[in-house]
Amino acid sequence: MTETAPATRMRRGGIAVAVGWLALTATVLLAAPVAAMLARTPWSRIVELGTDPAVVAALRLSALTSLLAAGMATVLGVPVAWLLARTELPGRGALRILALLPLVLPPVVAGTGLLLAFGRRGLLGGPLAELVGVTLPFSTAGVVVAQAFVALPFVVLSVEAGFRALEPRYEQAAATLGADAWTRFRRVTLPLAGPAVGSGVMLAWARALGEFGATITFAGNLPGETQTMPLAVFLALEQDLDAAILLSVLLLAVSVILLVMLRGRFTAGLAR
Amino acid sequence: MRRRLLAALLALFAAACATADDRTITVFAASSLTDALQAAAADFTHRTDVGVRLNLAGSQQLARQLLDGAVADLFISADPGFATEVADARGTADGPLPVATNVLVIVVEAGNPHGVGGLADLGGPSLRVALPAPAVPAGAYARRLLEQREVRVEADTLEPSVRATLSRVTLGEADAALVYASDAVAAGDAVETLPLADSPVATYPAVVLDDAPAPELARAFLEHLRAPGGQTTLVDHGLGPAPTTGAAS
Repeated sequence: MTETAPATRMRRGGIAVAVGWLALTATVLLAAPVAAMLARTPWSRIVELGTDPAVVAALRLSALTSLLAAGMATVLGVPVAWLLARTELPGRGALRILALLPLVLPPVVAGTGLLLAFGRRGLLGGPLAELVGVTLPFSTAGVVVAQAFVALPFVVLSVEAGFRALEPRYEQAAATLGADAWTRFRRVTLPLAGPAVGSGVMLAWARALGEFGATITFAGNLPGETQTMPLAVFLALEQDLDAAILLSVLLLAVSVILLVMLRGRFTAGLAR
Repeated sequence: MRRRLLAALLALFAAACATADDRTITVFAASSLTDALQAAAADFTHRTDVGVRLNLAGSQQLARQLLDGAVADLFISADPGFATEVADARGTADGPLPVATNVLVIVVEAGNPHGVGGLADLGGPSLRVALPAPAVPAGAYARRLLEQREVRVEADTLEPSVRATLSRVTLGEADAALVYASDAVAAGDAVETLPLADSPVATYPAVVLDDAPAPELARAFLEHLRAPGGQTTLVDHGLGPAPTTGAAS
């Protein structure tokens, strides 16, 4: 069936209108929670709530654990990305699925799994507790592990794409100039993949900062020890709504800053 | 043809929804009532053909939801304060009327491997203790009890509901916890229970909401819980009977 020129114009015009309305709906959906939070923030109580010991403890703990978790995710994720991008290792496909699993696993499910694996009676946690006397649940270390678990896929995704996008001729040139594998990786590969690693680490940090389900399930909830900001918001919602909103706005601000810093890098690292 | 089929399916779907909504009540109840209410609700549905949808969580969470306008017929709180707060905000068609009582107990892993003898032992430095968070009614009762007995406990985790607290012990992560007697009964052989003398007694006031979708059915369920049959079910699950005062408490 062939269309006439006016019919085509009308159809395209109709599609444009539909796209416009859908985009507007999406914008409202995204902007409304942010606007509502800002409108309801108890700005006058900011000093009082900002210096509350429980709030300060949650802020400090979140900052500490998320940075450690991002570091752990990076140290563990870059080698995995390397294996996936640069080797012909059999079972790479399975490794990739495993590495990306925390991305799609519901956080509470992740927490349950961590508990069964690394809890006091866990598959590995049991022997760990008996041999070394170390238990992860109810400890800050447990929080870091839970956060690193959910943040790892972000590093692997971004860095693998970064490694894949590199042209091998730079590394080949370095090889002909006498550089060994480790020097080539350190001086050529890693710097060239820098933006991808950078955005991977940032996204991992953001994810670690916002982690809730796995943290509360695996590490528990104790102010100063395991109560990160998302947990504090969750509990404050039932006790002190103002404190909850203030913490929420703080997390919102950090998220926005992160995204602004990532602009341009986000698609560069992931979409290639 | 396709359009008619679609219309028929939609009509069927709508009819199914309508039937479900007409004879169902939504009950928001404290998590410590989980097993008891599930049994009582099953009994009620069997007798009256009215479905009961249970939303079980910490009373403080449910109160928050109701104050934010959640739709419900009946609210059963583990703390009179929350019941009153919701009744004042949403209006009450009936209640607060108590349906049960509960006491706190210590639960430990089966076999009591750490030899916990009583409340004082919970203060031991190497014991991993789970307590309900202070905002949870059970947490508030637990705090009060510990203060009265002058036992300083450094909890390893403060959980958002009593059932979450119990799960720490059943999972083997905590050595001991303070929960309700009904929670201990629900855990069965997975835990050992140490009763407490002079435990604070929690009362569960129930409120039929003014704007409940099915207030008559909600009242019927409330009466079912307070009747001898319902009370037996609740007691069978570790709860105490509702206080039998003439006036509503």
